[in-house]
Amino acid sequence: MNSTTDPAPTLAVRALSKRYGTRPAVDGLSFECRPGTVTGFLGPNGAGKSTTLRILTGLAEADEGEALIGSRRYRELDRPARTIGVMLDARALHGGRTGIETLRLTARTLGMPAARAEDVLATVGLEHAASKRVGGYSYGMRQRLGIGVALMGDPSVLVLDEPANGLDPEGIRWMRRLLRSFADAGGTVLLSSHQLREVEATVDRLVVISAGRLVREGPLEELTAVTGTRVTALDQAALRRALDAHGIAFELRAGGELAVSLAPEDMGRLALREQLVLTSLGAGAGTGLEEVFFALTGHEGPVADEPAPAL
Amino acid sequence: MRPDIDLRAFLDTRGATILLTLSLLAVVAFAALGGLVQPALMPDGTADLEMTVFVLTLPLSLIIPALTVWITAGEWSDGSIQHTLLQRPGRLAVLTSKVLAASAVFAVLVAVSIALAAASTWIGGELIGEGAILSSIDGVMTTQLASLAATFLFSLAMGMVLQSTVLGLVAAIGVPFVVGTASSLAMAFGSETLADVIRAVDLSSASVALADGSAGAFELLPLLLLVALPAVLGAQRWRHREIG
Repeated sequence: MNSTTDPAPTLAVRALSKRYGTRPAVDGLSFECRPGTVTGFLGPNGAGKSTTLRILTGLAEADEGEALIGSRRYRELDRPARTIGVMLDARALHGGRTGIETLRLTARTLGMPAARAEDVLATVGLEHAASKRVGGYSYGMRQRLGIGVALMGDPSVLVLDEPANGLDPEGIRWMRRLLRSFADAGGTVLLSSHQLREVEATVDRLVVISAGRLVREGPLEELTAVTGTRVTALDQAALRRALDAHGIAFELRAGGELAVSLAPEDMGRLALREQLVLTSLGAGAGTGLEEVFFALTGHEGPVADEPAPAL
Repeated sequence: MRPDIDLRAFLDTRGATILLTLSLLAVVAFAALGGLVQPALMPDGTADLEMTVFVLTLPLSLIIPALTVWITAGEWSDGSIQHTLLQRPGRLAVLTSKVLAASAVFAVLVAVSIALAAASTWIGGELIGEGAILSSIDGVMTTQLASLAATFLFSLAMGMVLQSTVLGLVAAIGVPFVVGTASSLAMAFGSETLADVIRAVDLSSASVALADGSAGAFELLPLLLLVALPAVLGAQRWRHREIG
């Protein structure tokens, strides 16, 4: 990230809409990515992630709303790649150039010193493939080079679409450190990914969309927070009736367990009052991102929990 | 606008290196063929510059479309336009820059070709034959150069509007061939209506007429239909086409 004293700009998507024919790809989407954070942009295939990123980076036009970097649209930025580094599709790198030629051409385009190409090549761990044509790179190497192109202008914002695709475990670890240190230095990072475990290990905030609409936005801890109590009783039907009677929300979890929106001690008091024999009682375990994702986007998860109506 | 960037982006790829090498070899070979062999074939044993350049127009009518379409439309075909527009989001500036880069390549190519043609004509005429006719340079500058410029402008327009290397090449090479064939057929059939229709899209003949000053208003029609209109449509498409 550049060493200027200016803070990194906030990415702001406001009431963004885009239709293809009659099908809405993005439908009134709004969210923000703030400096110093890594924001994960999640959604199932066709949710509108790529369309949103293309509008944000000036590669497509919105029907309504706006996507701003700071207070300006991408196309209005003076030398945008010096402010925002973007890697949307590593396959779009020209296969007929070598890795170092790709970075030197980028450096020249952005007005950066030619020597920075070697530095960035080392940063992305491709020194050994400097003179190799990009057409001969593996997908993971192309991803690294694409991230290198994004970093070339020493930007304060990074927008990456599926950056972990094709990377080996060492590469994923490298990318995680890179994004973390970038954000810790005050940069703004927005990354979309299907690799939920990777996202969980990297991001601070989440923006979850489905069918072009915002489903949930907030800190990772908040979305996957420990909530309520997990409880089972000898007479599960009586337990449900008691919870219903007191207007306490609950959800049925795997194995017949109920997730109840009460603290464990309050659940114990309620069981005592209602003369219920509890067979297990404890604080609810933190919900995994995968579970949250499937619950929020309405897609089938690995564990098919049938939620009971919340009261 | 950064035509230097677009020139470098074109020149530092392996495909361009191969294409330029083959093009140079073809130009040298045809210049030699035209200039050195000509005295043996001409009754008076001379070598005429205009004839040598005419021979050179055969490879140039393929090389010019290939280079021009590649420079203007190549990045759309291989997907690298995404990176170009992320780094230089002013789309019309990028288009103008590519047009300037293509124009520079065309100018250098034509200058090198005419210089080679002049050299081989002189060698063929003075050293091998009965003399070289270099005074026909005026004819070269009107007839041949106008024809090459027409090829360039049409290729440029096709690259801009089709934004695909394959489609652009097919159109830039195929349409003049079809028009030339249709023109011959119209003459053979003696149909004036068909001849007028073909005249309206015969850019090569119109450009020669414009260059030698014999053109009327009708000769502007091919320029309008085959260059100006696709260029305007291409610029519009360039501004709004989505990437990715």
